[in-house]
Amino acid sequence: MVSLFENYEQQYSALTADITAQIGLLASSGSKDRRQLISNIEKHVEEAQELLEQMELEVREVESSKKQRCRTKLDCYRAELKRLTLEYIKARSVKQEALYDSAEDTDVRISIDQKQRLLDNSETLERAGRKLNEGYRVVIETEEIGNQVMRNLSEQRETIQRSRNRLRETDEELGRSSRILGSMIFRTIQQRIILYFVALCFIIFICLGIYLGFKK
Amino acid sequence: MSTNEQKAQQLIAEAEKKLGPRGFFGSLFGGSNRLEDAVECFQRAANLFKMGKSWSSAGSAFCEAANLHLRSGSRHEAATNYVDAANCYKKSDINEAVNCLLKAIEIYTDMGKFTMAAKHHQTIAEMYESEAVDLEKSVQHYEQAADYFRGEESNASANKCLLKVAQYAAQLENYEKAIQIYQEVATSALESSLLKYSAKEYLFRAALCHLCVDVLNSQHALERYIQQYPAFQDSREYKLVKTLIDHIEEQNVDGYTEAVKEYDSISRLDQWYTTILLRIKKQLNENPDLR
Repeated sequence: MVSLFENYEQQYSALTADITAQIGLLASSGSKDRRQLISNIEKHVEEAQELLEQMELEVREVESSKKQRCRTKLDCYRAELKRLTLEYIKARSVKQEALYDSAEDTDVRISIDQKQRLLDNSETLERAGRKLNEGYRVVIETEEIGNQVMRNLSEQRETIQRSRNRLRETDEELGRSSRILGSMIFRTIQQRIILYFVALCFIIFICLGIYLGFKK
Repeated sequence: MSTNEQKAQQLIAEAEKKLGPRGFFGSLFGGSNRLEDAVECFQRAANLFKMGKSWSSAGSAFCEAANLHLRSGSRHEAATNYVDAANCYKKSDINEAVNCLLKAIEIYTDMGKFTMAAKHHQTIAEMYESEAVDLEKSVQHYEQAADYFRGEESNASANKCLLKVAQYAAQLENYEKAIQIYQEVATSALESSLLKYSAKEYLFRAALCHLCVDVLNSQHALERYIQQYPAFQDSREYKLVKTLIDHIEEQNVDGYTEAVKEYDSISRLDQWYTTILLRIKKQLNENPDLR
């Protein structure tokens, strides 16, 4: 039985050594390692408590001559485990305070960053709003110009239609004038033919007169 | 005196010599030729005066040429010369320019060329508008031009003149006339696929003129305009008028000013709009609600 108790003692001393080492590491660890260490320490502490319970059970069955010495050892081990647990809690709480402090700093920093980001965003929004207004203004201006262009087009359409009508009228007038000119040309030709005919008649009559005159 | 003007004076002297008394045979054979030569001399002299920037002399030379054309029965050429004379007088003596244009108009109307007459009425109106600043006479001539254009089925040109009439009628506080014209023009614009987008501007102007007269009438008018042109309801112009009516009914001068400022921040209000809106605001200040 004693050998079993001694075996438990060896295991316990190894566990406490581990716990002490890990508590030492806990102070200088990063957030990721820290979580791992905490879970390891807690596991080891639980194991140590279980070992102590096992040892207590073993002490009951130890011979009366050795029982007192084993019980004293067990009390020492309990006190040691309690001390280690307190150390662990202390180390953990100190680190958490430090973390809280840094968290507060981070919060302040985050709030400043957020403020800056908000300011930037509001400025961007304002700029975008201004651009939108400018765009809207340009659109309205474009619409006005479009309306003006359409009015001009309407006027020009009328002008073109007027010109077309005038051209048609001119065409009709030209047709009429060409007909008049045609009739004038026809008359001049007609008159020329008559003139030639009359002249010919005159010549014939003159020739006839001369001929008859000579004949007499 | 520049060389151009000296040459012009010589040409005028030559023309007057040609127009002077002549013998029996001269009048019998060379009458019309001498008249044509004199006209040519006057025209050349006028052009030389123009080159020398002696506008009054150029104008009087063109007038002489026009009178000679009338004597020889060339009415079209006479009218053209009167217009040239008016263009010269425009730079020195507005009243003379107007007289020359009126003579040209008389000839054109007599010949049945109403479009030309209308254009010259428009020119006279523009001269009164910008240089002589006599809005009433300007309105008269624009109206006459619009009548002639309408008669010749030039509706776009007629509407252009009528819009000017309405603009100045509103400035001269003849709101009823302005409203009537704006409504007519808007109605004719809605019939045209090209002009229907301009209708909202005319309706907006009419609504503002209504506001100058009476708020209740303007509300009824707005309802009529929406029935006439449903797209008007979605326009910024309609929203502005509606807001203005609300503020006038509430006697809220600050709200009125703010609404106008907001509209102006997006599309600048021209002089006419500013004048009319200020008049409405003035009425709002002068006639507080007695309820």
